[in-house]
Amino acid sequence: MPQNKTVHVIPSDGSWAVRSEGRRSTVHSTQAEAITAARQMMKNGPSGQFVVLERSGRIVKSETYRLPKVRTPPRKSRLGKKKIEEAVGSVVLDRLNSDSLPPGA
Amino acid sequence: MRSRVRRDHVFINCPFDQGYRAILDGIVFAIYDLGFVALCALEDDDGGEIRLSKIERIIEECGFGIHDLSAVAIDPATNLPRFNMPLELGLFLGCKRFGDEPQRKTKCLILDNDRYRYRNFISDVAGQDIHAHGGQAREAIIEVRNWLAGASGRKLLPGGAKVSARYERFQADLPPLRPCSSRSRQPHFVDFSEMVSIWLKADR
Repeated sequence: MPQNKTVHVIPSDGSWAVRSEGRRSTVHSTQAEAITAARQMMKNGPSGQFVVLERSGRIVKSETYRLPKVRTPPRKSRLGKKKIEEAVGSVVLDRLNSDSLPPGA
Repeated sequence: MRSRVRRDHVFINCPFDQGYRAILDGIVFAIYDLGFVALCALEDDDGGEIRLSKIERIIEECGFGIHDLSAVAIDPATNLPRFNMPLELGLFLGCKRFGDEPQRKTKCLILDNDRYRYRNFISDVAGQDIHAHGGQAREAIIEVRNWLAGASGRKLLPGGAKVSARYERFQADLPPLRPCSSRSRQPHFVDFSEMVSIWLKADR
């Protein structure tokens, strides 16, 4: 069972890919379709979350399923939320794009 | 006026020195992974607020408190022990004892390296359940998880082993994130909290 409980919706060569560690990924022509597919995957699977990342790494949308919702710290960070979000998103996108999982049919 | 205690806010009373940082980071990570918010005296250091007043304000708004006494030891440089953690634990317990109804419902976790070491320097807390982490972040994470699950009554909290495994993955991602912190080797508490929160949202 994969430790990573997050399903990612990420831009992929003009389309939108739904990626999850240990599972087949799928490619969709629109973000909305990819979100629908991700949502369906979460409803049928174990507890987890899906998150939509844009090319810069920023989180566009996220939903949790049978997991506690992650809270936002009450104090503003000194570096700025946007900078941190893009840094985190870049790390995650780099890992996803180097994943060898083939896209689903 | 009725106090405004947040049932999702956790006050962390712990050492802030480099040697403890791994445990503090693990505790902060666990708190956010479990759906709570971590607060401590490190969050604002602009000098505009007297430190004790800041601690009192934070204690007053937190429904939970984690107090780590492991740094209460003789400092070889001064030949004196550090008393800040016991002081803040006393403040928290006093607030709970003498405060209004929301304050009386607050709950605390007391941590130390060893479960029975407290008998030698703060025996008045006998009767409280001291939890040992043995100086290990993984053990601290598991203790925090198990305690928060019981103290909060929340269901569907991830298990301690899973939180610990996620923390290890987050630690592996930290080096690429460090340029985010530019000047300091260790991110400031508020920046670290933001990194944890965003990382969990992006790749839990």
